[in-house]
Amino acid sequence: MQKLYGQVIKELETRPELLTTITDLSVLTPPAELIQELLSAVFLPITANYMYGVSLPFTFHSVYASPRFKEELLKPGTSEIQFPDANSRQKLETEMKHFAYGLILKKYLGYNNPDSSRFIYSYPDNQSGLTHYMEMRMDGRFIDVHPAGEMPPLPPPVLLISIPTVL
Amino acid sequence: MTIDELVQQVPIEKFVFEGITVIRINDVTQQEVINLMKEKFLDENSFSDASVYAELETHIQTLIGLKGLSVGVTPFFKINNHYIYSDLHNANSILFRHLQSIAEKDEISDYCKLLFRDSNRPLLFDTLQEQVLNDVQCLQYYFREGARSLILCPLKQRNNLIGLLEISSPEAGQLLPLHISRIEAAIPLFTLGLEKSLEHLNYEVDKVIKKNLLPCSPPWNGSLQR
Repeated sequence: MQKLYGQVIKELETRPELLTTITDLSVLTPPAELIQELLSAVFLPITANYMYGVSLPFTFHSVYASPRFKEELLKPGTSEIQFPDANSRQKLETEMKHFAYGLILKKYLGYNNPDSSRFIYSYPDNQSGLTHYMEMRMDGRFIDVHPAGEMPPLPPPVLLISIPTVL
Repeated sequence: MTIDELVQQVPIEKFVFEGITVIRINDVTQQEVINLMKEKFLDENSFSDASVYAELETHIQTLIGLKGLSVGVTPFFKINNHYIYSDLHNANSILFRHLQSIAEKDEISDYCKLLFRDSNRPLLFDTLQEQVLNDVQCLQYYFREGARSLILCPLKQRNNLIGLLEISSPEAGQLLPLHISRIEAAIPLFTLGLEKSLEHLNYEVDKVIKKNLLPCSPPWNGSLQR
């Protein structure tokens, strides 16, 4: 591991701005190659033709996108995720809301919610004239949640029984 | 408590989410189309509702990966050993589209039953040529409807042919063996749809019989009358 990632870790240590909470995304631009190397641990290079990306939690703002993801899902010239139809954005917003509450309940009430969420959208293939269905899987293992200020009171778990485990 | 009540009681703005979301996207067209078709087939009128049928046709085109295919379903419903040809159920048949007389339909229905008597496998006619049109009697009707390449899938209930799923292309040589493998998961759904239609038809026939014939029957003198 040391041999494989030693150089990456060394380089990271020379950039303290990457070792704290990042609120200004522009700090990610200069070390783009380093970020790419880090992401290769998550996305294997052999999956170059696959669609994958990284976004800020529960937003439509991507911080990294594979070439195909960029081509099919990013608004040209921006890093905003956009869907071919308006309905899908609305459905994903609902899905994100459920997923976000799932993470809160999991962390603070020990609710048994999954680490990932899935969402299906349709994609018109202009070449064949047919519709494709794509599954977007959002992995929440790299997301941490904490109260913005004072911890708001959460309802007692007994009241949450009617909310399905998979929110 | 519902999720909406939770949202009201604990606004999401009271929390901060840090980190990243890793997103992976996969093409799940085949599974999703089968799921959508299952939903449609749960509706007992799937074969008589034109809009539902149009959707099913689109789904088959998506599964095969070719636009411009025609999809038909020809039922061979039998009640009391007689074929029943209902406009409602035959509206989506390619085979029966231009057959007017009941005798012709009976003959071709019997022929299809014979054709698939010993086989449950779909038949592929990649190109409808003169030779094959002469050899297989029913193919001329598809040819007249513009089919130049054809897949016929037998829909069987307890080894009895109750219908045919017909997939036709206007282009010779367009349909290939690989297309059969793409639709195999959908064939049992069409069988299920036909079974439900047949069940519904039986129920309707029963209802008509009871309505029209029972008043002539001798009065019931048991406890029911009381």
